[in-house]
Amino acid sequence: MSILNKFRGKSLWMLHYCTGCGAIEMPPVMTSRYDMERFGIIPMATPRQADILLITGYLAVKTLKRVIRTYEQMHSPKWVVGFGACTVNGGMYWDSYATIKKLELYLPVDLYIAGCMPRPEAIMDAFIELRKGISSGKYEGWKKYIENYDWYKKNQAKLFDVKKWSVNYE
Amino acid sequence: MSDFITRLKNITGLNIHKEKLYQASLKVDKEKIRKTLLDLKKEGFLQFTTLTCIDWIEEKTFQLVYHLWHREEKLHLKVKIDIDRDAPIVETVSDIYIVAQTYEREVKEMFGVDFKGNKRLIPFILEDWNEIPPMRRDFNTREYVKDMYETEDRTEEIFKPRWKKYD
Amino acid sequence: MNINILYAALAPIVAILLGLLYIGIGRKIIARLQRRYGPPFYQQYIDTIKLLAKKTVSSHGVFFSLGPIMGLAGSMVTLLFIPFGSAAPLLSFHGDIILVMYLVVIAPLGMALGVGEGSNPNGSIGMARGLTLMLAYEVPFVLALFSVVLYTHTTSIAQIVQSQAGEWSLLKFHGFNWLTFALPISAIVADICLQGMLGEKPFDQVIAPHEIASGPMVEYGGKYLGMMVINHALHIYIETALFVDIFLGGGPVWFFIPATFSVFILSLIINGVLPRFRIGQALKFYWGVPLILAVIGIIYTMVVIK
Repeated sequence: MSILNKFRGKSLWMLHYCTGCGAIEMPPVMTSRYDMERFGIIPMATPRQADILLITGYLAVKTLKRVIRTYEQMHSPKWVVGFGACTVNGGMYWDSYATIKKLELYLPVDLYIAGCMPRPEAIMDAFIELRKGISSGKYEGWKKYIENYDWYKKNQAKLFDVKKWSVNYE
Repeated sequence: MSDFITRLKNITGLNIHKEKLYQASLKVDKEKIRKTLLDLKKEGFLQFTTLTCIDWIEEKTFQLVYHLWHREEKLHLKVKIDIDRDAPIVETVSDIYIVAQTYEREVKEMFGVDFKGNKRLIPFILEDWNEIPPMRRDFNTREYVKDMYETEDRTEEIFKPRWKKYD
Repeated sequence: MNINILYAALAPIVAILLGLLYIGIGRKIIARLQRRYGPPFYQQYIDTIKLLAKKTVSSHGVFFSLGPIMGLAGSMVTLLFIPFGSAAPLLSFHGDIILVMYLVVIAPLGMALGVGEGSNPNGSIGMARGLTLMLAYEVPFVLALFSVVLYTHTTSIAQIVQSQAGEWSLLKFHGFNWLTFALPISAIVADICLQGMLGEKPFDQVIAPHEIASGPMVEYGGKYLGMMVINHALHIYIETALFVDIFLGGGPVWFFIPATFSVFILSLIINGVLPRFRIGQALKFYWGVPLILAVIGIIYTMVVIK
């Protein structure tokens, strides 16, 4: 199993859910300045193919629904990376009526990148950290999501109708 | 500039105050808003920039501000009306300026002002909203945030995210 | 008999490994063209193993699962007809060049079957584009092959390879038996069509990630996607090997593998510097200059024969 984890760590296909200003930090990371393809990280177009869900910026309740549906469409093993202060505690939207404050209450976030905004170096560093963690089998958020499905769904249900927005909810 | 405003006053009989260079304002009654905007459009105010709403909770009124722009004379005109806060109904201007349709939708959603005659007053941005409109001043944001987003945090025992910190 | 079974088992493995290696080195070359460092050359192997090691499988029905398998099976059958350089293929008879043209189509058709059940609009658009593109490049390509058949008087790929055979050694290089020199116009047409067959820019409308979210693959993930990556690798090997066999004279292994790789890299470098056509433009392009060139190639062949 650990050999497969080594392979998983070295090939991270990423789906970036770009809300808010975080999206602007991604192009330098992908292109020739920082070039994340050298670590095997490439952006993917659909959730079915992706391993990492990178959430850059604030999530309104409206977008959280879409993110949860996207996350549940991905194939496990999968990982969530929260990017920027907005996903950590709401950031500058700490008292906004429309945005969620802590992403970890609704999805199993494996790694947070703090900062507003984190620089491309921080993203690269976080990906190296994630790669090490995945290779050693440390990050298992997707397992915890299945084990504590009820708790996560309870938190989500406080904001919206989860039956309508989950993929496999009986 | 002042010539234009004087001419405008003479033609339409409106009481226009010049506030700054390129900016003037005008207050009319709630019933006269359609007639005023029709007159002003005839005079060359072809662009409807935006529609805003102010909640004067102490005076129990909503103030609607219609922002117009005259391109040739470079004049930004604000037409203000006051409406009753308890029965916020006003006639639409969306048949005069078609863009007003969307702005009226937004004001309806954020303040609860009803526009009589707007054909597209369907929900705009908020989904599943059950409270009073969020931009009203009697809507308590802190209270709402506390209720909605502060849940019992069991992530310590379930799954604690790791951190990448930069000092 | 035993050797035949060994051949049938080993040929796909070698072809897959070669195809994945080509894609991996290709990614590095594209990266260097764009002044990036690029992934290691074995990155494609890692990606494939990772995809096959995914833990969940989501299927939309029987045909959704059968589609990639059918595509892979079609490619593997095609492989048995392709000579590995001057080594004879497992199956060879008169007319197999026509059969190969049919077999190459099976893979996209199998995909179309699966994508249809996935019922994702992006996938359907991608598949429609794929079949349209096939319609576009097949016409000039078949005409180019027709001139080859006219010239060599045979419809068997193995015999076409044989007809170009010369004395192969490092010192004596009898490259002038190649059909590329005998039929230069047809060779150029075939190379232009190869660009569309490989799905490289400017003909990558089928999997346009920025427009239709990777097209036919949009609903496929995990193990299915792994199968598709393997199918793609096989496809690259088959197309380039077909080109090398027919126009560059096959040759021994030390020539055959670099030749297929160079053909792939040529199309990849064109891919690296060009933007994407719309599908209508691609169709117009293929039914314009390459088609006329192919007809001129046939006339040229008939003149040469006489």
